[in-house]
Amino acid sequence: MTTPDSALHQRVKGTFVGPVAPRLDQPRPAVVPINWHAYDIPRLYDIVRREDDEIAWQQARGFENLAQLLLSHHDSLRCQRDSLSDAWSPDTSPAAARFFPLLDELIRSMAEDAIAHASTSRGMHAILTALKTLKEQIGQLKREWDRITTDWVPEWWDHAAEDVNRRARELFQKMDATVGDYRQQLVIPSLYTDPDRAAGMAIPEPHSAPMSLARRRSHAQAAGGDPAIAAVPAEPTVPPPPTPGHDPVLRRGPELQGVANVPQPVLAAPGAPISLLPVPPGNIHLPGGGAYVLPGPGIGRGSWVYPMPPSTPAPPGPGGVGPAASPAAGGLGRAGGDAARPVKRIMVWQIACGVPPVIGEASPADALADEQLRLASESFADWFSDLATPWTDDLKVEPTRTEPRP
Amino acid sequence: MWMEQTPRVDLDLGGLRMIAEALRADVELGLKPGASRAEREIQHGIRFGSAAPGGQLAAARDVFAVALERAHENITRQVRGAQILTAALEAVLANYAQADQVAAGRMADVQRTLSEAISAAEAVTQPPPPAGGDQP
Repeated sequence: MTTPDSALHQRVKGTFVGPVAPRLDQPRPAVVPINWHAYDIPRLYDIVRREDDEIAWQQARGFENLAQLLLSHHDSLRCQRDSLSDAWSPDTSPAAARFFPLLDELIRSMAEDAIAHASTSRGMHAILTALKTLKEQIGQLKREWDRITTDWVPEWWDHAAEDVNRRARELFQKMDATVGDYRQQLVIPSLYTDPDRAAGMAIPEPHSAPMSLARRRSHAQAAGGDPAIAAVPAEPTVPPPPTPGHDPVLRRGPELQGVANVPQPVLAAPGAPISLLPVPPGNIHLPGGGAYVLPGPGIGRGSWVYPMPPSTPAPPGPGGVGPAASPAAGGLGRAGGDAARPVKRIMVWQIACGVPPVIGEASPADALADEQLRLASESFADWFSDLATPWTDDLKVEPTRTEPRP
Repeated sequence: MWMEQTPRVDLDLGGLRMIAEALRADVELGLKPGASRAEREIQHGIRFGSAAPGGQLAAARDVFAVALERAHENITRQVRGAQILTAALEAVLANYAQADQVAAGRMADVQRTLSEAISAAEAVTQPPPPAGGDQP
């Protein structure tokens, strides 16, 4: 009976202290250095808002479970191998001499995979934790961003926006470094095969791209597995574009040639989605609501607003925003003047029946005002989202109505 | 004189049978269902950093994709490899057990049976033929 390999168990647990041969056959993907200054809060929030997926955590646990499964069967196979060699010696049986190398290769492969999968599980867990923390932090900054025009007087809007952007970019830089460290723990084991007996067989390059879903299905079927196992792809997502006029890549060197999906700059031209602050309805400076244009390439000093069109809830689309297209260019005061005109923006439907309020009595005028405000806010959220974040259709602004600071 | 040319085989049939049964139970009741369970837990594509424009997060996605693929390939092969090695062992056991005594002629059958079983085991460790150029 063989005792469990304590060094192997420690390596699977991640508690092994001692020299370990470095693995030189690991994938080295091209890293595109991102200039996070090319992204503002809505874009940064869009990057991180889908994180903390429960299935991703399940995957991290799954890799640990797979490692433990392989470790357990490795130990069992080793014990049985030793008993087998006593009963059927490879020294006296040519058949046994041929059998045992194959069994040994299976045992070795299970040990290697157990170490690799356990390390991948820990790396995944650390990366997911970093992303979950980042999502919470950027979510808080996004709420600050959405409230800037209600929390601050207009002279401070630009400064407050830049301050929130700066803090978010620092968090992304930190996340990038953290993920870069933990990425080293995602370990790819070698393909299980018998190298001596399979001489000349094509071993996939460690840099090989992941299989497509169709190929994975056929692969699973060819191996006798369940094709449905690998048939749940993640939803493809398009990254947000950078703010116009900024290169999203820090260094465009020759090492990026041939790299797929390198983000490209967006021209600072009318029609490009620029950086905007929401000015929700009810704002003292723009009661009808609108979008405050922040400074930037193609914008100049910015600091002007584009009021929400009074009669068309549909937004002008990405082609409708920009210095050349905005009818509001010229300054905040002018926009405020436009919005000061009494304009009926919403329609309130009469209802034929209903129930009385359970707590307290609200006057019909108050209820009507609240309903108008709610509808105005919904209309504004749709309009502003399509205006400021046209690359996605489910990123809504969440403005809150608060009194401006003195 | 002929006694010296006959291969001498040390074989504990009882021990071999016990080990073969234990191996079969380990594979069919432990490794195989455990592998299916693990596959159901991990084979869901890449579920993080889906909107990353680049940087280390996108690089981590690339590596994780390969890790997913390799985990799937290896566990599939390991289960089938274990099954076929077990079958090879059972084939050897059956041939030995059928003989009243281990004789040179009988041993030739055993060797042939084992060779066929091991060739089958080798075949499953070969990569499957390419499925066509459908890379993403």
